[in-house]
Amino acid sequence: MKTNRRHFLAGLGAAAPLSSLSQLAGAAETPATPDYFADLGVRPFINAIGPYSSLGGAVMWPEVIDAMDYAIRNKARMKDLHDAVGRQIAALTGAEAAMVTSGATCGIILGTIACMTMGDEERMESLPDTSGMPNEVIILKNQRYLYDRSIRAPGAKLVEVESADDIRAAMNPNTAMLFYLLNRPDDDTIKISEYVAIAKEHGVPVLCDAATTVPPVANLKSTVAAGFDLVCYSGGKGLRGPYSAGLLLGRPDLIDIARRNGSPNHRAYGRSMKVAPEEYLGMMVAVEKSMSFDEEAEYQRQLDIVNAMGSDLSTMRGVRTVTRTPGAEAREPYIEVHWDAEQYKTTPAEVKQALRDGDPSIEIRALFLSDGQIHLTATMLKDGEAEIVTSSLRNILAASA
Amino acid sequence: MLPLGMLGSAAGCARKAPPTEDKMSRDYYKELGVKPFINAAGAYSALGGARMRPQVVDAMRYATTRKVKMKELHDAIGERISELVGSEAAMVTSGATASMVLGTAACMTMGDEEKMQQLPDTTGIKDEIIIQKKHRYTYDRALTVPGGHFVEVESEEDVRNAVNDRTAMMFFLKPTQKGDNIPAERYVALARELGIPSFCDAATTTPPGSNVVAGVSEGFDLICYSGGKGLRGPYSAGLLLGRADLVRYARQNSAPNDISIGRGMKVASEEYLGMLVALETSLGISEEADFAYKRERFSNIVEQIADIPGVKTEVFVSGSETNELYLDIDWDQDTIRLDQQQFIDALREETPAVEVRLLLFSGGRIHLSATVMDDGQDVIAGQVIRKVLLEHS
Repeated sequence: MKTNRRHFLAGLGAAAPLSSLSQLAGAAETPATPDYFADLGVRPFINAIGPYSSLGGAVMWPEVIDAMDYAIRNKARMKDLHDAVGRQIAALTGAEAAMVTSGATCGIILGTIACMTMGDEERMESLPDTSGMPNEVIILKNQRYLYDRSIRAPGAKLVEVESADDIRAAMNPNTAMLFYLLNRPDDDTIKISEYVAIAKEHGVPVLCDAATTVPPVANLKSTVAAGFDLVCYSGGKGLRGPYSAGLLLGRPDLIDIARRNGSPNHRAYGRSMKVAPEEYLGMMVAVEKSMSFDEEAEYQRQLDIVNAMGSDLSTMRGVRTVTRTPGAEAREPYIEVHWDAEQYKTTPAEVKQALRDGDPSIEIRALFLSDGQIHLTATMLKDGEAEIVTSSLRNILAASA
Repeated sequence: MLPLGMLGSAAGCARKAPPTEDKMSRDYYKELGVKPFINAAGAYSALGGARMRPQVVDAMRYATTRKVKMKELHDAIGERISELVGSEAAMVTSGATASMVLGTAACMTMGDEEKMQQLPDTTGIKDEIIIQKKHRYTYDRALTVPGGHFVEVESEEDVRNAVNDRTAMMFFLKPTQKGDNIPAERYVALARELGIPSFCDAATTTPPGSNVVAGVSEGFDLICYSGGKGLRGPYSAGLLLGRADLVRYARQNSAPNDISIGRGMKVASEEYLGMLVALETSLGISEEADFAYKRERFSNIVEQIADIPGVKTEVFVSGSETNELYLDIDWDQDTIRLDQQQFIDALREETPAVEVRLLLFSGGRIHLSATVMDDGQDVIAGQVIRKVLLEHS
């Protein structure tokens, strides 16, 4: 069955393969797509904060949407699809094995389960009751974060450590896994190579949460090469794949076990974390596309936009902006906006709220702890939106003066 | 790079071949060596679920290029779905299994943040789930995912004796092959009398879509449906319907909420919207139109094989909760030397492969379903079946 972009873009009524089905609805042709969000009263907004999950994630590559369209039209057995896509993603990233998950959180959950159960059917069945199996996960104290909650979801317990000696002391027959969070400003308590080496010494697998470390996409390969047994990524953010998709890369035995604990296996702990065939294929194409496109040009585009926003805002008396260009990980340029608190009597939190309540609604990042600092990014900005962001911000500041 | 707004604005325009047109025509499965198959078995998860209706695919495409805040989207769609089905509240989940996990977590935690954060450790949390012994089944596994434990009952008296201060929920399954000791109406009344939330797994009770409305009206505090099967919505989507407080708690226990046990069960905005449109469309479609479509598919299959000596076919409606149309194929095994399992294996070897259903009771029956079959696939499936039967005649 041939599929092309026009089918997807032009709506499906006229597209051959599904046209007969539309007759089921009693319509000879599918009418023009209704404006669903307007009908539902769901407002569009300007995203100057980034591809956050709560804001719908990134905009997928057109190629990803096309691949999803293909998979919707062409059914495959899930096992065949999972095998083939897994092989392809492994080849692209240099991992020994790969699977698509329902997101980075799912990657952490299934990876943890793999390490706790090591494929033992009885253990898999009894989760989240972990009696009789190793259930301790070692984590660096300065790497504790919001999302380590998902390590506990299948029943694991966190054991905090602060040094290499701590790790060695914490190791015992109940140790199931070592966890490592990439992309922490203060993560050099212990070097990755040492962390991995200690794990290997004790024969305990290490799972790395690298969810937010792309772009740059080169991090995919380098993190895989760093020697972690498992690495997970978010699919719907930096890689611009499907929103509810992610990657789990690593050792073939562990990936195999993780798959057995996921959907669509009937009695798996993770059966609920379903991944549609279109998401599975879309994720593969997102990796392909991310690895082949001109990342520098995109970075420069974003940098130009944030710089232009900065110049615009800096013309206001008492307003100062600084362009930040993070280095190796999560490489997204942004500007900080500072203002003279004497002159503008408003806080970052108030500005954030005022922008959110405005028309159009605008989402930005505000650091509540620092003094008068908000962040603007360009990843999600569409043409013409940067100007709306700066003029709204100017108006809010001016009104507070 | 394409401007972000382009996908949306180009909809409906006859576009001149874009520079990337060639890439858009990739045959991914051929590249990957994934064997195509015709699904004459039904909307099973392992076979990729149902065929989404065109309106659903269209709605999903709409949502992929228009970002909105998830909370607003969830609120608005939840409200619209509850209006459609007559429930107090509604949410879209990542499937019926997720609905069960989240519904159970809701009944266990009742919105208490500390308890939500603590799951699956149930120390100090209600974790007993009352279930009729006859309702134990493969998928009850989902209820133990957030830390629930089963207490099996066989009578109303058992239920009364089982209820204590650790009872979180009373679970009900429909339809069941083993029947009920306590029918739905009594079970709901009993749960209400005892002040325990009741939950019904009705995942497989569609089509017709109107069964959702009927199910809701039975009065369970929560009821769940699969989205990617009988309702022909997105593969990884489902519904959780019921009491406003419980649905709110279920949402709190789910993605994208950071502290939830269900954060892994993500639902994309296109799936959220697609599920609404699938439900709307299903409710607007008559069973007759649906059956007419399937009868046509079956008659095209039968046409390919009716002349083979010893072959018998029969189209029938399944008698249970779901009114589903099936084609039963049987043959004289003296004339055609092939048992049912060999027939299934032989169909899988062909290109394209054809998947059919083998029912093991009553000595083994071969059933075909047209639920996931496209116009045109029927004839091909018929030809493949013909080839296999003739090869063994």
